[in-house]
Amino acid sequence: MKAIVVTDQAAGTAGMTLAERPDPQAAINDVVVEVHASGFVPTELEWPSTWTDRAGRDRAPSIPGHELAGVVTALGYGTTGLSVGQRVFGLTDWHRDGTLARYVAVEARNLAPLPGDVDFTVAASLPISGLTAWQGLFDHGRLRAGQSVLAHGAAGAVGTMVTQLAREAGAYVIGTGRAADRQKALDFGAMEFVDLDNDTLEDVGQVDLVIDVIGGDIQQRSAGLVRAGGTLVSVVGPAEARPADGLAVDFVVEADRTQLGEIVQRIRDGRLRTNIGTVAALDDAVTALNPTERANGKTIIRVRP
Amino acid sequence: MKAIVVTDQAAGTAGMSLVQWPDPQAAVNDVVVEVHASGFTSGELTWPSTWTDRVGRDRTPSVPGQELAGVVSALGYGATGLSVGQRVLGLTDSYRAGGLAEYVAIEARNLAPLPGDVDFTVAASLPMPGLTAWQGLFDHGRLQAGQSVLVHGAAGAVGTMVTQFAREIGAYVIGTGRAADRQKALDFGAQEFVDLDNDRLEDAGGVDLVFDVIGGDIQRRSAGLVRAGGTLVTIAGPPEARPDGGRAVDFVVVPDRGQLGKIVQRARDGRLRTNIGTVAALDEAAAALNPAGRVSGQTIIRVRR
Repeated sequence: MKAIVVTDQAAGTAGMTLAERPDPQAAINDVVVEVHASGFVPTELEWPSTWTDRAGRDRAPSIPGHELAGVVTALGYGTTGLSVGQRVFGLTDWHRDGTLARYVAVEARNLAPLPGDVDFTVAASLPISGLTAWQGLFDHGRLRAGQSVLAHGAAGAVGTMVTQLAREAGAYVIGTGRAADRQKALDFGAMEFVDLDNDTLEDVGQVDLVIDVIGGDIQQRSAGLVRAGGTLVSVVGPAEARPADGLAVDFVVEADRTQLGEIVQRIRDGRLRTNIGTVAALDDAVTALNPTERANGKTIIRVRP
Repeated sequence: MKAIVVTDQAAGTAGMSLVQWPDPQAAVNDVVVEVHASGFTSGELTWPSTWTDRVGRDRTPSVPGQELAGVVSALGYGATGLSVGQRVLGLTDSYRAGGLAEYVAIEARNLAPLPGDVDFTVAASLPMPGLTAWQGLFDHGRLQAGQSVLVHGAAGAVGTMVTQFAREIGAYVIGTGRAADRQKALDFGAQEFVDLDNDRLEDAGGVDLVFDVIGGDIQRRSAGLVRAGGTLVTIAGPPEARPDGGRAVDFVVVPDRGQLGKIVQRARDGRLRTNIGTVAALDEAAAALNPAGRVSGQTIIRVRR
């Protein structure tokens, strides 16, 4: 099959090549999915899981991309709950070959059924951004109606999901980003916007929850804004700062069938909009994933037209 | 650390040896658990996942033992929901090193919190048979009150759990086994017992659900007993027989935190009794897991006192 592979961590995304790879085999409780659309996170190539397996052994050449939407073509030994021919979407294992390929083997529990009226391109854009937002806001942030959220990168893939899900839950959302992101952040539902280059972050006052996707100085200053009993949730590694009288939680997103179902239902009924930028074919994926300027919205690779 | 390892599939359980082994490292979203007690399933050494990883590469020497109870001693990058020092129980990934060791690295989502009043030995006996019974009866068998269940191996590790869960929701349970199993099966709640060596299975009449752990001829004859609309559920691989007007489902147990919580709650409040036979130390595990005669109840390895 055709797949994008990486072999050299130092080369970054420039090291991606389109190659011929063996078709994957379904392990116990796996399915094989014919990939229709795939999503890639730019930082994947920095993660140890792209280069070694869980026992620490070299696993290159590796296929990156861990979000997908497609159709089940085979079931592994013991697999239940999904059928051959079923449309699915989900998040594959960071330590296994990913979805920038014509086929991928993935544990069935990492996938959810995809309703027939949701396009594969839309579905492939949901798992990482949607699950990260959901788990950050509700599992780790324990957000409730009436609380306030500071959503960093509010015009980004995760930030637009955070904003929409927080608004739906009845929270007050303050988005941040660069000057050029203001209108997009407001369009997705942010009630205020802080231009991190030109405004003073501290002017937002106190918040109940910070969703941090940046780290560093912005994270430290954001921790100082968290009210007593509030939480700073970060997806950029162990928090360097802790709110004076609150929690700091860092996490890596996990696949969750039930939450994927909640997210896709919101796409169907219009409560959630996606934030897709470029859509490119697998043959053009290397170029599309090495953009020369700042990408606006998530890049999706449409593996099958 | 000390661990039991296997290197030779042909040697079976006789090939188990106690060795000094490197401490495991926590991968992304893993925790490391200090193992207090662990269980071994006799079929493990025939499963491909014990010998190769998910891409088919040799992974020996392998540490067997897929159910465990212990205390979290480290968190991997991004792991959330569990804390260092927390008591846990769960099911390991069959493709990774298992619980017959002083420490094991395991995805946090494969574990559940273990209440302080449930002993580690008891807890280690719950994950594999408990989740197998739960998933077979409810996820795959869709059992409801008033239905009848034919439970093969009703005095075994899985069968005693199946019987108790089925009785709790109001099903009628017919257990099977060998003559010597009769009293134990009845003690765990079976309302009838069929001695497969001396009684006629067909005298059990029509049932709504068969829970098969045997396969072969018994499975084929059991399929013939399933009522229209009923189900044959098996853990003995792809079914050779399908009920007339019913379904046949084969499955391999999947770790599930929510279900583990329900199972351990039942062990606390007395709705669920365990079926533990021998308890041995890790130093004696190789001998304890190579019994001379037929064992009664699960063998649990008490790794720490």
